[in-house]
Formats: sequence, structure tokens, C-alpha cells
Amino acid sequence: MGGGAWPFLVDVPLWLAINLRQRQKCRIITPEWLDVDKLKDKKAEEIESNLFTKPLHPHYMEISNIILGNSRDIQNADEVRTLVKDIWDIRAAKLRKSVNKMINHDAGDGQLLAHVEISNITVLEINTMRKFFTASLDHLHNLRNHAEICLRDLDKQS
Amino acid sequence: KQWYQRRVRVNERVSPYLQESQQEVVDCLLEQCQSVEENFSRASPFAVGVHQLEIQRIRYMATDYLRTRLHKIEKHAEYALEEQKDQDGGEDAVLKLSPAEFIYAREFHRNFQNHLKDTALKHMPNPFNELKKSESVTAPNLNSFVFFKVKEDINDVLVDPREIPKDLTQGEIHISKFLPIATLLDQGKIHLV
Repeated sequence: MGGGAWPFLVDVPLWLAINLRQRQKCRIITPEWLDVDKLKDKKAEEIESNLFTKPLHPHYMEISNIILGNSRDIQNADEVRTLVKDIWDIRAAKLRKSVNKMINHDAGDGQLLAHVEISNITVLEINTMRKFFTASLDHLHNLRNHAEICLRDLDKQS
Repeated sequence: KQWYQRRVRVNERVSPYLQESQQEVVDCLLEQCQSVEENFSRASPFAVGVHQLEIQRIRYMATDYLRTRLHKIEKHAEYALEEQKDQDGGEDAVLKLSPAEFIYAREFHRNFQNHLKDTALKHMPNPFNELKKSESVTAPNLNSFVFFKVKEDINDVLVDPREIPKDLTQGEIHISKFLPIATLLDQGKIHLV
């Protein structure tokens, strides 16, 4: 983030920068990853890789939305916005596919997957599906456990 | 201090049950807020505005943390009280409820039971007249799924009782049931995401 009147460069937390910007007291210098070429490269990388790639920044979505929404003097604002949205869409699609795979996974003896590793995912993406995902996994495991208990009882009786 | 509070708050938010009460952290933060506020008269108006913003943010985090704890206490009041009672016999036990929360939980539980008795149970025939403890305890689902981020390398973690122990390396994010990981969380080797 850069100073306006006396041009000096300062590192400030995001909320402070936005507040100063709204009071016209400073000019925000975009982080280096919020750049058209970098975003195009990232998008290509994201498309060809099967797993999640390392995100531009752990909170890239929030930061880009806030910065793009608040400053008027960023070049190619629209292009940057579409690129970020594309990256977000690609990752969301991968997320949906992997959730699907996990729920339908069959570990051989009818057991459900109880542990998955998924690095390189941002907190916002986790939160989009957190409630649904944890609730459905809970239900699945409940039903599976009940089924096991019932089968065991049946075996004992017969 | 802010990052620590954020970590504490996220852990509390996501976990299915009360974590250790970090009441000291909250108190310390609020004290610092007060001391900053007292310095307001001396500082320039610009700095005052900035400090005010920061204090509001910190205050929100502290109150949100307390709010989630209260919500969990209300959901599992009886379970929390039982656990506290069991632990009081032991040495140096880790207290999940701070003293004020304990009083709150007890009063809430008492009021709730009285409410149930007065509105419904009083009018029922004799065998069904009492609130049986074993049936009315709402235990939290400690097996619900959570997202973890690994802070340090750990070896041989038994994540799923049917599978072999796995190694966790730093910086990965995992999904798992809460119970096998609870001890690691207490030791501070992982944190919830």
C-alpha cells in the first residue's frame, strides 16, 4: 500500500488500507499477484493440473474483491476480475468433483472414507461447502454404523 | 496477540465441543483495549480514529469467541457440568468452563429443567413424571467431521481405527473425524481450519 500526499510506502493491514482509501488519504498498490499475466499463467496451471494448485494467496478471493471494489485506478480492472473469477470457478468445479468422488468411494469392504487429504485449498472454498459436507458425512457414517450394528445383530440371532 | 486470538476463535468455532477456556487471553485483550482507550486524549485525532478501528475489531473477535462458547454451553449444558464435576476430583485438571461460565451453565440448566417440569412433566402421570438424567443429556457429536491444518510433522497418527497409522507433514490440510484428532489439537500440533 502506498502513501499519497507524502509519498511513502507503508505496509498496513487490509482493513486500515481500505479505510484510508475511502477517506482519500492514500493510494493502494496492488499485490504483485493481482496482475493480468500472472493470473493468466495461474489459470493455465490450474486447468492442466488434476489436484489443487497452490493458490495465489491464502485469501486471494477476499483480497481481490475488496481491492477491486474499492480503488478506481487499477489498470485492466475488468480483465483482472474475470480472470480471478475464472480461477475461482475452476477450483470450485474441482472441489465438487472431489467431493463427489469421496462420497462415492468404496474402500473394498463397503466402508466409507473417513480421512482425506486436500492441501492447497483456501478457507473461503472450505466454507462454501463446510456445512453441507460435514453434515452429509456425519449422516453417511451414522447410517453406515447403524447398518453394521443391525447386520451384526442379525448374524448373532441366526 | 491478534493472530493468536484469531486462531483460538477459529478453533472454537469449528470444533464440535468446547475447547479449553482461554478466558485469560480474552481478559488480557480487553484490558489492553481499555488502556489504549485511556490514551486517547493524548494522541492526535487521526491516530485516535485508527486505534478506534483496531479496538472495534479486537472487541468483535473477543465477543464472537464468547458467543460461540455460550452457544455450545447452552446446547450441551448438562454434559459440560458432568464433565466438570468428574474432573474436579482429579489433580490439575484442564477446565473447559471458566468460573463465570460454570455458574452460567448451572443456572441455565436449572432454569431449563424447571421450565420443562412446569410446562409438561407436572401434568403427566407418575411413572413419566421425572426427568431422567441418562435420557436428557445432549452429548455433543464428537465424531463429526472437521478440517485440520497440520502445524508440525507428526508420525504415526491413527486417524481411522480401521486403517494403518499415517504420517502428517507440515502444511497439509486434512478432513477427518474429530475424536482421533482431539488430543493432537490439545497439544497444539494441529489447528482447525
